[in-house]
Amino acid sequence: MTGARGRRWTGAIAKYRTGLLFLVPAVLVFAVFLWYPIVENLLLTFQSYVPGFDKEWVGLANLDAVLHDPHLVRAIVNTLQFVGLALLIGFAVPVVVAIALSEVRRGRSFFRVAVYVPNMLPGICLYILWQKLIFPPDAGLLNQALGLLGIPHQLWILSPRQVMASLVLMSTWANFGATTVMYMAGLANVNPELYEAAEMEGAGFLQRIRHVTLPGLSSMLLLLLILQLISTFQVLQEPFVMTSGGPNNSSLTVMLLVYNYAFVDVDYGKAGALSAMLFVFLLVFSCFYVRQTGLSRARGA
Amino acid sequence: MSAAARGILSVAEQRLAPYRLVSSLCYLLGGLLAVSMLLPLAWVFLAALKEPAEIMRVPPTLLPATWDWAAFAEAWRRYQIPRMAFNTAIVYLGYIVSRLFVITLAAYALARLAVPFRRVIYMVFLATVMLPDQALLVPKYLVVASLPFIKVSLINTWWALWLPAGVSSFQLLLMKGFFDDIPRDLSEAARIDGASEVRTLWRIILPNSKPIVAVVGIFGFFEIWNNFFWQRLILTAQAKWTMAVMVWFHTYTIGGNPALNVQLAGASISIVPPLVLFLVFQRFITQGITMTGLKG
Repeated sequence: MTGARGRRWTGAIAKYRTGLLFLVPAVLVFAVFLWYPIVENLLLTFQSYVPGFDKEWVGLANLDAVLHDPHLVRAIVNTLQFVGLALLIGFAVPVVVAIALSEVRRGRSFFRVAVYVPNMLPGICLYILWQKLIFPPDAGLLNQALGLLGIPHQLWILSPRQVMASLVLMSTWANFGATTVMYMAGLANVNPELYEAAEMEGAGFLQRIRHVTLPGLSSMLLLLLILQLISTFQVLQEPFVMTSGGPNNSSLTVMLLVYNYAFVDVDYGKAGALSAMLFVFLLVFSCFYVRQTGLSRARGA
Repeated sequence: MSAAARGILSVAEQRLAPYRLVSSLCYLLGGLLAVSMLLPLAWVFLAALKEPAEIMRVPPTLLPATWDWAAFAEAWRRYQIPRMAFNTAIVYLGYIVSRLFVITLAAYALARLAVPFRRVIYMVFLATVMLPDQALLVPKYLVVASLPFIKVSLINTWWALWLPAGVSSFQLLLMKGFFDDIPRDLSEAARIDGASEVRTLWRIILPNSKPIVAVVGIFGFFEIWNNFFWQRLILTAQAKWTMAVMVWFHTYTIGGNPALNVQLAGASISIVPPLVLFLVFQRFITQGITMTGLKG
């Protein structure tokens, strides 16, 4: 009996050995740097942790402290402002540009490269460029350009009311090229016969966009919408570097608050509680997407 | 030819009056965008050549009054460019090698090898594709500060950047998909000849997967190029810094703060490598975006 089982085990091991061995590095790094941090984050929510000391269970104290922090509402409002403006500006721009550039016959690849170039900028250089040369109220390029149109000078990131919109403007400038290139590829896949048919039926330019182009892009639009929501809700680097959350906390975002809890106040419990809430909230978007598209069925195993 | 050559508007329509307007508007938009994308980039280089006072002059000057390369010389010295170039190259190469090593092996196992519960394992990786990972900043930092079980700290080591590089389930699945499409006859022939799996992967599969390896490599590069935040958090000693941290230090901390033209010269220098890389691999990159559906 044991002999048979033993043989079966050795048989299984011999059969699966290489396959399992090849999976070891991936499972190891995923476990240590992704799955464990997720669990750790949820646990931290209910713990008090000071580096060098043992963790202590504190029940709901962290959540309570976070929810009573007067900064929290501010951070949520600012983050929602960033997400909303990024949807209004950042989501629409690449679609429009992709459609326009696809209609350009000559020099299309030049335009494609030109809109993509800002993506190449290292993040930190992007911030320096905008902070030192584009946003400054007097000599900045933005106000100079608007001045030509007769629009008065704005304060941009120095103004509590404009700071989030300014950051959205900057990240749209930097990022929309990649999305545009994707949409252009999507547009190239739309069957030209559909346009032919629409033309026969007398549909105009805008009608063709509405009834042929946009439906052709719909799955891409949904994917990019969800990805953009997930990434903009976690905005951190821009306000951290450029404004430190100012002026007067008007660019304090949820992730920046998490950062401050952890690395300024050294209160990892509070940081864990807030980021766990954000994580779970964003998980809902991912699940919604997977359900909508049947991602798992489409890709197959 | 006639059907494929058209866009939303047909070639004939583009010559008609109302559509000619639409068509010229498209050109106008493209031209305006090209200027607003390229001008600010050129501006950084040009401003670095100006005197600090000239940079802030109203109205601004396009070309410097005197072409003064001193700021570049100063930045080269202050930013320790040779040292930073070396550090950055090592960090980035390690990152890409680490990622390719981890995901190539796993993708090959899932695509071709006998694996128990293959579907379950596949689903586990798939489930992590759209996780909000920035939100895990703090627990990730705590893990790196003290690895589970072995309690080793990776703070201020490049390992903290290299080891997590393989955590990219999207690219893992992308690669598996690519391997799936390679004809099985190729690897079966090698197996019958008695080649080991490592050898089959190295000699048969990888040479047939150059496009996907290039895409994964290039996107890995741009990922780490942009992930300044993690580098600043982890690398505490100046000797370990990458170019991005050095540039940040000189503009955004009291410790640095040279004249504005020197700051811009430093930033300009750090823009050159990705720009050159982009122009060289431009085709791969635009193809890669299309292929992966991911932003660079």
